Amino acid sequence: MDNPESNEQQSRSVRWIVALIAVTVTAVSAVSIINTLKPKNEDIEWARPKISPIANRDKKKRPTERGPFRPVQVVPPMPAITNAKFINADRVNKQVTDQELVLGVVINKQARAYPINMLCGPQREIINDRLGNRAIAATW
Amino acid sequence: MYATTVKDKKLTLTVSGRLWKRSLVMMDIETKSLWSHLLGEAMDGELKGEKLEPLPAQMTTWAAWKQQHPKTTVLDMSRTFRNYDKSVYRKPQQYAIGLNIAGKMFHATFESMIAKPLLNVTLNEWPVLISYDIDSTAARVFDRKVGQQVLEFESKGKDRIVDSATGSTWDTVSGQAIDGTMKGKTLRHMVAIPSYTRAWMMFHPDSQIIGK
Repeated sequence: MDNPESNEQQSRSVRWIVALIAVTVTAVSAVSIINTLKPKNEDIEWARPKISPIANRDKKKRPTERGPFRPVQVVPPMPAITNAKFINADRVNKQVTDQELVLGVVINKQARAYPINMLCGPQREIINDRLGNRAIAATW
Repeated sequence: MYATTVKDKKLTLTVSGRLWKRSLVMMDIETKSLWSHLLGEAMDGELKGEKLEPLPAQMTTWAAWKQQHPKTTVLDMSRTFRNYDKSVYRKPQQYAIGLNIAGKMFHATFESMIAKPLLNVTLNEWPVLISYDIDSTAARVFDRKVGQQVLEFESKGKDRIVDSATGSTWDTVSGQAIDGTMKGKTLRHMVAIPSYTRAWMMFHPDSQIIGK
């Protein structure tokens, strides 16, 4: 049997639920709008692979400095890479595939390629090297 | 890609773990000076104000590179990422090559290079040729001045261009004239820095866009 009072209660609850949904929808769209305003991860030059917790913690409030040199520590300093190994092109098995991008350089007729997929991540962004009798660094 | 000898001292560069303008800050072990990656300049420390010499490097596919340089060596390390192939350019307006022409900054987006793969242009009074190969995604920049002569080029198929003054055929990979009266001459490769358009603009807000 219908009870007018419980009907009244029901419609009040429905109004509450509708209001709640409306608030939620507004909040969610506000968040997504804010998200579109934030710089996307792919715009950050180096931060593609996962890195240490320090970087994650600072990610949201990483300032976008302009003008004076004010660097921000986001990961610990990395050890230098000075003894990287190289192979001849004909020895390549699966290290690098045809459509992958490489950074290539020729110095005094000596050619060398650095596959970008090996240079990603803070521990790999700089390879100190020697080519064609010059000291160089491949950087990414 | 930089030469790392500065004031006769060979530097060893490391990742400092710091970012500036969202970009890598390098540190040299010898003096602990801090270097901006994109500027190639020491921003702090003993070597502040010094610059690393940028080298003309090429971003291209492995297939193209090994075909053009059969004797190349290649770095042999584990992968730290998988997906860096030419599909990264699917939003070509987001990527650019940056040029420093006698102190003035310019950039060409991959979108503009795809639309016009061969561009004779004068930048800061300097005659420049920008050549783009859609297949390998390689962008190359040359000085159009050979001796006292300024040349204009037209495309003549894959990796081949012709100058209108002499009709000689040139190779856009090596920059060498391979046929005609110019045979034996070489166009000088200029340094082009591949970058996110947004990152380049952050460091060089006055950079002029080429080809738009």
